[in-house]
Amino acid sequence: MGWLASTLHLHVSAAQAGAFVRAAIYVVVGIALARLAAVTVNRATRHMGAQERVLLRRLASYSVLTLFLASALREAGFRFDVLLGAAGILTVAVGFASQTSASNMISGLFLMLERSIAIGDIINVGGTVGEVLSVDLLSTRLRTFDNLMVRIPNQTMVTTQITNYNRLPIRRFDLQVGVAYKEDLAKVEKALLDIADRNPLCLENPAPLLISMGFGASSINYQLSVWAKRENWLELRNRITREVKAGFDQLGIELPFPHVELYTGPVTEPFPVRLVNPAVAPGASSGGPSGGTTSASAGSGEGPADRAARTSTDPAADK
Amino acid sequence: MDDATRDGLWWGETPLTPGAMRAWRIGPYRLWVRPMAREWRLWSFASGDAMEAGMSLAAEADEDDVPADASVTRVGMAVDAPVLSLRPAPADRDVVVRPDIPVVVPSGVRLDLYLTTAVWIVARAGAEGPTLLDEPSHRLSDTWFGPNTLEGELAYAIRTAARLELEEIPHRPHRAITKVTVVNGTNDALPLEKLKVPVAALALYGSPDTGLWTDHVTLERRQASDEAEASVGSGPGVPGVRSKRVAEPRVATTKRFSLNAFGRLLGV
Repeated sequence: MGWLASTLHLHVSAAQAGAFVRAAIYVVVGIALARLAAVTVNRATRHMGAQERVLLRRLASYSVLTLFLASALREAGFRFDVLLGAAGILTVAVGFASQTSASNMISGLFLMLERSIAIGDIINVGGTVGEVLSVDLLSTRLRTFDNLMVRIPNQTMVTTQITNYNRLPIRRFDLQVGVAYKEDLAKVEKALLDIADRNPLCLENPAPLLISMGFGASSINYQLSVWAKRENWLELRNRITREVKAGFDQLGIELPFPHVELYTGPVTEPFPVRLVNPAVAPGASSGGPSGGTTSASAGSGEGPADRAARTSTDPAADK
Repeated sequence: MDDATRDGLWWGETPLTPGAMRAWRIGPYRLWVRPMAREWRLWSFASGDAMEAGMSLAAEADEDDVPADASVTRVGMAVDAPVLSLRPAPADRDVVVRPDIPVVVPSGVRLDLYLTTAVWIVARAGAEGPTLLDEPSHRLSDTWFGPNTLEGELAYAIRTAARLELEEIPHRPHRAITKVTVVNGTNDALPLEKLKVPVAALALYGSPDTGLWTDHVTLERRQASDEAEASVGSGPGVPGVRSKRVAEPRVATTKRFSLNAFGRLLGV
C-alpha cells in the first residue's frame, strides 16, 4: 500500500485543502453536467427506440462523468502515471476478480448489438415471462406479470433460449378440441371453421387451419389454429374458446371428458343396482341427485367390483 | 337537424336538448347520445349483420333501449348548447377484398369493379368541436397481407361479390362504394383472388341519391408480379354521380404510387 500513499500525498496543507475543494467542485459540476447531457440526449433521440435511447443516454452521461472524475482525481493529487505503471499487475488482479462481471458486460454488449430484445418487449427466458425493463451493463431486468422484478445476468441471457412475444405483428393460437366418437366429423369440422370465420379478431389470412390430431382415449381430437394481431391474441384466445363451447352446445356436439366404462365381458350379466336408501328414491323425495345414495351390488357381500361400480359414475348422467 | 339530415342523409349537425337522449340507426350501427351539463355520454352497438340497411335519425330514446353489451363513452366537457355532428370517415387501414368467385382479367383488358366497404362513424361536439367517438359502423375482420408471416401489413378483410354492374350494387347507409379499375398490361391473364384497396387514402363523397362513394382507384399491372401501379382519382369516377366531399382521407398519399395489390393467399 506504499505506492497508494505516495500517490495520494495525503499530507494536509493549505494548498492541498484548496485542491480537494477544487476536486469536489469538479465532482459536483461533473454530476450536474452528466445529468444535463442525459436529458439533452433523451430529448434529441425521441424518434429512436427505447433501447437505443437508453444506450446513448448512458453513454453520454457516463462519458461526461468519467472526464470530470478523472479531472477531480488529478486535482486532488492522484498520479495517473503511477497507476499506469501498476496497470499490468492491476489488470491481472482485476481480470481474475471480475471474470463473471466482464463476461456479463460483453454479453450485454452482444445483446444490445444483436437487438433480439428491446425495452418493453414481452419475453420468455428459461420459463420466466415478463416485460423487459432495461438491458444494463451486467444484467437484464424483467417485470413479470405478477409484478415481480427479475434480474437475469446478461451471460445467462446470451446462453439461454429467449422467446420474444413482441417481435412479429401477428401470432397464432392453437386450440385443442376433442369431440365425442359418436359425432359427425364433417359437421364438427364445418362448425369449427365457421366459428373462426365469424370472429373478426381471427385473421382471414393466414387462414384458420384445422388439423386432425387422431383418436384419443375419450375423444377424437382436433387442433384449430387461428391467427390474430399480436395485441388481440389474448382476447381471441378467450373468445374462441367461449365461442367453440357455445357453438357446440347449440349444434348438440358433445365435448367429452374422460370416460371410464365398466365392462364385465360379453357373457356376464350387467351389474345390478341396489337402492341403499329407499326413502330418497325418485318420486319418494324432492331432493336432488345428492339427496340419496345408490350403490351397485352383486349380492349381499360387497366385493372389489362392487366398490369400483359404486365409485364410478356415468358422466353423461350428470349432464 | 340540418338540410343534409332532412334529405335522408345521416351525416350533418343535430341540435340536442341537454339531458334528453336521442338514438341513431345507421345500418347495423346504433348510437345513443345524451348531452349532460358537464359531459357527453354515448352508447354504441353494432349488430353482426353487415348487410343491414335501415336508417333512423335522432329518434327519442330511453336508456332501457340500450343493449347491455353496448360500449359506453363518456367525454367530460362543459356542454352549453349541445350540437352533435356526425360524419362518415374512411377505414383506418387498407382493405383486402376477396371476391366470392375470383374474376379473371385477361391480358390487355381494363375492367371496372364496384366494391362496398363499411365506413367509420365520427361523432363530434359541434361541427368543429372535439371528437367524441370514431369507430367502425361494422367491425371488419382483420387480415394479414404479405408474402409470409414476417413481411406484410395488417389490413381489413371483406368478401364481396365484386360486381361489374353499378346497378347491381345495393345502397346501404353505412357502406361506401369504390370504383376500382383494374388494368392488366401483361401478357398473362390475372385472376383476382384478392385485391388490396388503399381505402385509408381515399376521400368520401355523399349525396342523397347515390349514397356514399370514395375516390376511384386504378390499379395497373405492368409486370407479371403482385405489384401494381396505383393511382387515386379525384371523385367517384362515375358519370352521373354528383356528390359532395364529406370526409378527407385518413392517410395522405401521392396520387400515383406502387402497391402490392394482387398478393396471393398464404398457405400457412
